[in-house]
Amino acid sequence: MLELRHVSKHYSGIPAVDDVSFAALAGEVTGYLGPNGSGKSTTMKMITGLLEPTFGEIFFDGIPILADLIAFKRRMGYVPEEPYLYHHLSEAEYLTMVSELRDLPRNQGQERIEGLLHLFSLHGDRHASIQGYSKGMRQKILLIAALLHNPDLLLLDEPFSGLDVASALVLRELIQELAARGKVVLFSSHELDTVERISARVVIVHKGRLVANDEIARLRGLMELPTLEEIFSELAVEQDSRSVALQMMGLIDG
Amino acid sequence: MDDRIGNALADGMSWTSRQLRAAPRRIFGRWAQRLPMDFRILYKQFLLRILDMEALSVEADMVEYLAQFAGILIFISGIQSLGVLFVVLLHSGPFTPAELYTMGWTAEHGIVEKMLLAAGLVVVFLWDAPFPDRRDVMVLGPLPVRPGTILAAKVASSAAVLGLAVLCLNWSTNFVWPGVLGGLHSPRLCLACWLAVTLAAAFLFSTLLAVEGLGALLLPRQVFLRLSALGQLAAFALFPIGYFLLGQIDSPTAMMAAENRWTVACWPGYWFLALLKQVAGELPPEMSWLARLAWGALALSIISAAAALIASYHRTLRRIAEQPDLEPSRSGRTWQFPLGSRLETVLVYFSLRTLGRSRQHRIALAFSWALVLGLVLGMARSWMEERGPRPVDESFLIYTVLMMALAVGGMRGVFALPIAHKANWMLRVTQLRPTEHYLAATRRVLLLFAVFPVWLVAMLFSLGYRPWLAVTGHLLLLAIFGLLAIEVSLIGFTKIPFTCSFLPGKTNMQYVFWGYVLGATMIVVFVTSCEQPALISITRFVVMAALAIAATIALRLWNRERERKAELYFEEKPEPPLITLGLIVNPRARI
Repeated sequence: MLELRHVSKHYSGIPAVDDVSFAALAGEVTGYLGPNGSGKSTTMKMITGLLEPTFGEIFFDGIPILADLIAFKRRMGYVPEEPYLYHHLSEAEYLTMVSELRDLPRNQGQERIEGLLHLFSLHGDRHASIQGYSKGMRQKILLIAALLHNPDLLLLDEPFSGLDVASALVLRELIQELAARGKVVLFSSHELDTVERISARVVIVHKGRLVANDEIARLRGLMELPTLEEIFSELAVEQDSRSVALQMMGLIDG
Repeated sequence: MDDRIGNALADGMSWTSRQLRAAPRRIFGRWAQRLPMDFRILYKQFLLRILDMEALSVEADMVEYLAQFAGILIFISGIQSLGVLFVVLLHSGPFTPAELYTMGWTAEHGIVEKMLLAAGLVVVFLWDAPFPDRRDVMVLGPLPVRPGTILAAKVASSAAVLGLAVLCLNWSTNFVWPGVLGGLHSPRLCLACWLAVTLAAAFLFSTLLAVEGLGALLLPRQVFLRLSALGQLAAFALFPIGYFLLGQIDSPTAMMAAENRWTVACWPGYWFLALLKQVAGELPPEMSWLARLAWGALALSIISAAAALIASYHRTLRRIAEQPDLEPSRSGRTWQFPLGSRLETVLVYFSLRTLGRSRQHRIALAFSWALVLGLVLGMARSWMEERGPRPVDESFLIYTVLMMALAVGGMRGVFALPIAHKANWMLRVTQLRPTEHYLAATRRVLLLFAVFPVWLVAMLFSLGYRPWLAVTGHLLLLAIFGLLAIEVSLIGFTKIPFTCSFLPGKTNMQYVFWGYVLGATMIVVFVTSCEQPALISITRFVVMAALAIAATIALRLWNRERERKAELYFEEKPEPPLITLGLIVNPRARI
């Protein structure tokens, strides 16, 4: 189980994440939602250890992650929001490097890389430089790199970004299967329909603060709203979207 | 007292930097205002993108960085002028016409050759800058900017950098030399010097534009990019080779000798020296063909550059948009022979691929390796002149030790330049081993790509030296010196090569440059006063080798202890999540 207890991250005294507490359970998918700038990626980075919380603690299986960060990193897979990769390497070189850095047995690592490249339809381009790749192809490489070592915790920040429909469907099934096999899956996305389909529970943040943390079915009942999109609009959207669109048109039209 | 001197120096440098920034605006401000706005904006952008901004930290100051390079050239010019003044002042009595004649040839040839070397290196550094890349096309393509404006801004920004190099390297020498020794001809000689160096630089720049423009026009984009990268490396080797092997004939008699005719005809240094002499009115008639060669080559390069550039530019922009920079490969192998532990192997290959595939890194490394190559060529030249084995001499010892220092220092310097530093999150989330293991990999990179190649070259050259005992002794000391240089270069270093953001200005280039000069001087003193005597006495040799080994081990242990407690870092200056506008330039101004 992944657990955040009163976690905050302040920049120059200004909170980007403010007193957030929630738990993501093994065996289920937890959706992490919020508008742009609400602190989702900052939270993800704190969980990976890339950022240190200003206050609060993060636990994995009851142990603070900072107590033994290296042991925690061995069990974690991470797909960041932006697909930054070493573009001068080929995908085979990049993934081999990740496999070696993760200390996977050489044969096992190569076997998994080859297999996953085939399944993600990237095998034909495995010796081409990443520089020429589309956003979707880069996203697939990130996903393979995160899955190579069969992690117990998967942190997925906008994993569907740039993927084609077929790959997105595969990924959706994959996420559910990973959860079914006892992994902790925390994923953040703006595709509310997808989140609603595959997540058992959602955590919604707004302006760095937690505004909802519950099972989707319970939230629907409590708020008497039929879809996650409407729940999200109620909790985290302050603007009237139609009115904003009309104001924009007014500006463009002069 | 020390503080006051330090503050005065810092204030002086800051004042110089401010003046350098403000000078172009003061001189060209009114004129520049008449240029079209889109040209001015693009010109400034391209000028500041000579280095890839994505590699830099947020607070990187490119102007400051370029000013530091300019400062080095200014200083070199100043020192040369002081040298001329000292020679004149310390000379007893006036110079004879024969002395003046010989000094004139040597000094003017030196001015042209140094300009050719410096301009050649700047041109190689600018290699792709006058041409649009994919980013230019993607950003500027949808905007209503004419290709002609982009062309003009690109060429102008590259030419400005070259012009600055010409100005800085000659600001003093081209006035002092003609002024002191030119007599009544001083103004004409001064004009001739300036014209020769400017035209030499223009010739090199036009040749680059012509070759690159024709390449872009005639070749498929992927082939052009590959050949262009190879051409850049070849050009980097060409200038030191030309300078050290071809450009050393100083006397007019030797230049006009039949056996040197081909050398003189092949190397542009002699053409532009003849041009200088022609403009100064001192050219012997036997050399007028060289001056004609200079004018002809210059005209040809300028005409071809203009034609190739204009013709290719309209096609090039479309080609960049239509054709990918890299063709997906359908075959290949991810080979990795073990080069140490698994972590060491993977990081050694990462470094090797970065150096092999990144233009920016190759160029940064080539600056120090060009000097190494120069030393190798110097040794090769003296090797070829000798018949049969020769005794181990000072120059062999000094050259090889300097090569080792330059190779290790250059490689360590280029480690600081990141490749895609935003991608380093991967190394951070996969850091499963202690920091010291990563630094062991860095040590391995230095050993394999700096110490070993230099040692190998030294060993090959040593085959021509005797006695064997002295040769073996020097090779042993050289290897120990290489290991010591690695440990020295890793003091305070807790990074993975090519992954930490770069902050120009953190390290002042001038301090580094003069640090290298001081280091080289110390090496010369050490070799002549310590190593050379040690190679002829077994006792001295044993003592010296023992001391060197002890120093290396002590430094290694000290570094290892520090590495055990250290944490890897990936940002020279972390990007602040809240970015200030920086409107208050001088906080003291508020008081």
